Amino acid sequence: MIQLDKTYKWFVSPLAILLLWELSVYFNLVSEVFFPAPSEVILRIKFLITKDFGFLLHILDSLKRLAIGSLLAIPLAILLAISVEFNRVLAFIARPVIAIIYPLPKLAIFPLLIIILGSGELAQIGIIFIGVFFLQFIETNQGVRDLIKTDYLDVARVYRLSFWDRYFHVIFRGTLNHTLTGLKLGLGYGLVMVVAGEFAFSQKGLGFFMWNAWDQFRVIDLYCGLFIFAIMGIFIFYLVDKIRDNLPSV
Amino acid sequence: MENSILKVKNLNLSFNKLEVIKDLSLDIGKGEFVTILGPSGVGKTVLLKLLTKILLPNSGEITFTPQEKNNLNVSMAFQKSNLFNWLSVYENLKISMSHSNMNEIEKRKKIESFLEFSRMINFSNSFPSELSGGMAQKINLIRAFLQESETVLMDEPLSSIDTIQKMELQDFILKLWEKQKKTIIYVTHDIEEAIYMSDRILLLPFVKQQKQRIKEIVIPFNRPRKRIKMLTESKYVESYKFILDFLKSELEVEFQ
Ligand SMILES: Nc1ncnc2c1ncn2[C@@H]1O[C@H](COP(=O)(O)OP(=O)(O)OP(=O)(O)O)[C@@H](O)[C@H]1O
Ligand SMILES: [Mg+2]
Repeated sequence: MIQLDKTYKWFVSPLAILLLWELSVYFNLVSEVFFPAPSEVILRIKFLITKDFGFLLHILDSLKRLAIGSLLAIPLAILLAISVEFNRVLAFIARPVIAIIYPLPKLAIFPLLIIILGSGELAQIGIIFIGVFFLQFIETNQGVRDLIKTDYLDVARVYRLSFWDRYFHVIFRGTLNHTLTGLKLGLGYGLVMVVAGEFAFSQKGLGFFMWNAWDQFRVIDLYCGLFIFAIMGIFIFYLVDKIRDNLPSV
Repeated sequence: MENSILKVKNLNLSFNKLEVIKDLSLDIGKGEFVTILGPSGVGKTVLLKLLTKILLPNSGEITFTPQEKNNLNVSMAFQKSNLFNWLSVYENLKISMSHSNMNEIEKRKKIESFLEFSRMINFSNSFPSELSGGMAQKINLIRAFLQESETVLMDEPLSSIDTIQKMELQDFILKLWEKQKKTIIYVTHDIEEAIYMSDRILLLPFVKQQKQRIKEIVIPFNRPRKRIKMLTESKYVESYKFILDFLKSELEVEFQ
């Protein structure tokens, strides 16, 4: 089960930074125009959420896109990362394609995606998918390659493990550590893609909200967006690390 | 050999230009405890891997009688323990019975009886990283013996275990062997261990020009064997010297 006792460790240093920041503003060490006090930002977030239903919808829109994009990308990436190591035809097709697409700056693909998928929701989810997919693929694939170098697959063979036992209990579970790192990296990059997509071609989402705030020079609202993203980010890291902590050491 | 369970005929295997197994023949009887002994790098592990079909030979025949379908003839305890670190002891054993026709309850019973027998039942839910080296090796051995296959291969299972635990585990292996009536093909570096455990020792030499001729030595002690008593007998010293001479000539070293 997930332990909560050491959870506080996640909040000490962020809170300390916020406190320093708060004091710096209080003692006029930094300009309040560019660096509004965290307490102000938090009050503003509270105001936006309670008074203006729209802000909450923006958050939910972003989360929804991240969720859909990731839920499509992650299982597919894991599946492919495992399969290419055991299927020559698939390896022959997929490996070069992935090697070619991976180094492309994903944002450079975005305009093309919009032409192909239209400027609606599909392109937004598509760019998140691409962002998450590659990192997840690369990490899990590395795990599988490391596993192949051990004798584990020989053991699986000598004991004639069934298809499910071999692929799930040995290969998938044996590479879970890598897969979780991939999840962290992938979802983190997914957040980047959420904002990028919403900056440019969307009328909703947290990215759009921030773009708007920038356009109208509402600096504090930019911080509101950043805070929410920071919370999402820390939540992803926290959750993945908690899952990892509760796995047997490999 | 009458009552033969495994015949190997004219087996050959090379890795690129390195001939590891050359024109090798073997005959193992049902229920025998046979040890393969030879210097490091002669191909003991390779030979076992050929028997399990993890490796395929360039030529030659490996025949088990009776021939089981789906390669059900052998199980193997590997050189390193190779328990799946992310599975508990129980899960490790259960997954090794993946192919068995037993239902879940029968499997559980069989696993638990083995764990009871080896006094490891309290570690059923532990993970391999929580076990000592000796305990992990015990589970590794149980895993090999749990199988329905008649022949069990063991690749230096006790090479990294301290002396006292090693003796305990040697007796553990012998007890399982007698109880289960399996055929064991055992690999070790340890001359004393080989003599104490085996019916027969096969001395595997490096491939030189000609074919790989195995020297063989039959161990003349009745079972159950008494460790200390055995060490003092002249038959023991003779066997020991025979093996040592073989190793000396293979490695071309001199010592007293
Ligand atoms: N997969 C492989 N590819 C190439 N060469 C190999 C491979 N496996 C083994 N060899 C070589 O075959 C020879 C025999 O190796 P093997 O592992 O069987 O030795 P061994 O008798 O088990 O030694 P040890 O007692 O140290 O375990 C060695 O020279 C080794 O380098
Ligand atoms: Mg070896």
